[in-house]
Amino acid sequence: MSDKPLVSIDFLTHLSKIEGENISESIVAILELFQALDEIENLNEEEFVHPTSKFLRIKYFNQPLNVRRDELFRNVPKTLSSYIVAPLVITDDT
Amino acid sequence: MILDLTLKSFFELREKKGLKFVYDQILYNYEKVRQTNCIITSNFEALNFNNSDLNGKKEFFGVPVVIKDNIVTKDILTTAASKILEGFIPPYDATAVKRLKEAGCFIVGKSNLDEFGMGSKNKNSVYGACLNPWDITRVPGGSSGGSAVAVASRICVAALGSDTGGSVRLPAAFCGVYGLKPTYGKVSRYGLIAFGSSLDCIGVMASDVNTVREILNLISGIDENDETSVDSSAFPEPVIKKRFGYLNLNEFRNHIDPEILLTYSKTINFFKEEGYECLELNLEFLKYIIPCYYIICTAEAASNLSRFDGLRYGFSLDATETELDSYYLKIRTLGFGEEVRRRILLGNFVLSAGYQGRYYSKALKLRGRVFRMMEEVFQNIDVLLTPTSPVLPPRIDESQTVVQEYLMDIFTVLANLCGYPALSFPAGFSSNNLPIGVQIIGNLFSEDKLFHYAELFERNHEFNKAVPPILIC
Repeated sequence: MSDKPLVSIDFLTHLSKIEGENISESIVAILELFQALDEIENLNEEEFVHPTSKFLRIKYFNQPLNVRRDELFRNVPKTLSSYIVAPLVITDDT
Repeated sequence: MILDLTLKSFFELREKKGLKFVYDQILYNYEKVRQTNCIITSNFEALNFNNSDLNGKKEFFGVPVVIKDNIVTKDILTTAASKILEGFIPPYDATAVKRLKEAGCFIVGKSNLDEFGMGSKNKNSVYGACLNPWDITRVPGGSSGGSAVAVASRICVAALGSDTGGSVRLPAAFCGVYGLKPTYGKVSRYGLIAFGSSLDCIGVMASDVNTVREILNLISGIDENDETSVDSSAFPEPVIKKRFGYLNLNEFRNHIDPEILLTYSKTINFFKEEGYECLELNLEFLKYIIPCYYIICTAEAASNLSRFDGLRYGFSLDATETELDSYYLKIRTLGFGEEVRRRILLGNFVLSAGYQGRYYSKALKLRGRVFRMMEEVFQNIDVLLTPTSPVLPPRIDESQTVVQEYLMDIFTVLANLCGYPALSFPAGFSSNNLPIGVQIIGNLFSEDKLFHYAELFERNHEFNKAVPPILIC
């Protein structure tokens, strides 16, 4: 198990303030579920390539795009196609 | 007498008694099941015509189909059961819909779903919950609940759903119909409102194997509008080894309904008795598969749903807000339901600077490992049989935690993580007359193997012919 807290207290306080305790408590419960992955070892050498990518015409699956939070809604909807998998990594802390 | 609405029986009835006869029956059935709330935008009024002249008409002329409301339909309201898409009328058809229409099929309605496909019960809908026709105090499963109910209730020959983690197969199992998630890329996603783009598939629901296969043939194939679509027609015919795998479920036994375990075991025995070899499998990664899936799907959902800003389409507010960011905040808080907001928050969290390595990157690596392990498994077997769901359809008012609801997907998410085709078929009933489904998972582009196994089972059982009580009383 990682020593790092599941989620920062600041984040939780902020979350319960804006979303209510129902959502914030369930998010903590889900993050506890996600913690199961901490048990898995030797994943470092693994690499993810989309299983069907050898049949597909695109090669850039799951390469995260870095965006600043203030760009998230302003620019991304115009540029992000549904048909390209490019999760957005928010580069300034949430 | 309730009509059997397979494609074959539809063609026979259309020929012998005319379209009006079939449509009258469909309208009669729809009145009986209207209370299930399976259809959120109806086009049934268009069935009131007497067009029996089939001369020069296409083979699929008049075949009634239902489309899940997160698949866009030209000039027909499409909302994904979300307030944020209130009033959105698409100017184009999804490729799958376009192909159905070109073949002559007729859209009779848009079906209810969990908002943006996020849920396993079809309770998270801005239109209200959908009810199970086998017992209206229970859920039909989600997220494609409305499509499954429409097929089970004989108001269409087939329905399209979408499947990101089991959203076609789970409701198919809960409603006693067939539900296919094809291989990723086999059906174009153009016009499917994106949830998790590396996982999403448009799937088919129907009341027999042949109808599923025929509708799949109509909608599949390469599409210039979807770079991830594949032309699978050139793939060689799969060789049936007559050997299947099944799961050793000892570790999960206490979390699976005993009647589901019994049906699963009877299904395995049926194939053994038919002379098929079987192989028991211990898939050690199974206990990690739910976290792996939910990290990836929430990350992709958070990114995909960033396009809903209240400016381009759907729900908007009076422009009293002068500051753009506060407008976004208000519109997205009002426009998204609780489950969608939860997943957006989770997705942004697992992608955030301090946590991406711990969650998102790790889940992707695990996904890679799972696929490599499954590649080895499929060297030795045709297909893998699993239960579709660990539980019978829960009651509408049954309280479950969010985590418990996520765990309902334990047997279905594997196919999405690996891109595999998977089919849920009706395999029996519980002692209180609730349908039970069993799932067949195959290797990439091996849909024909799934059909082979399911058809063998179908020929020897008639669970798909049972009629929900709501239609009889």
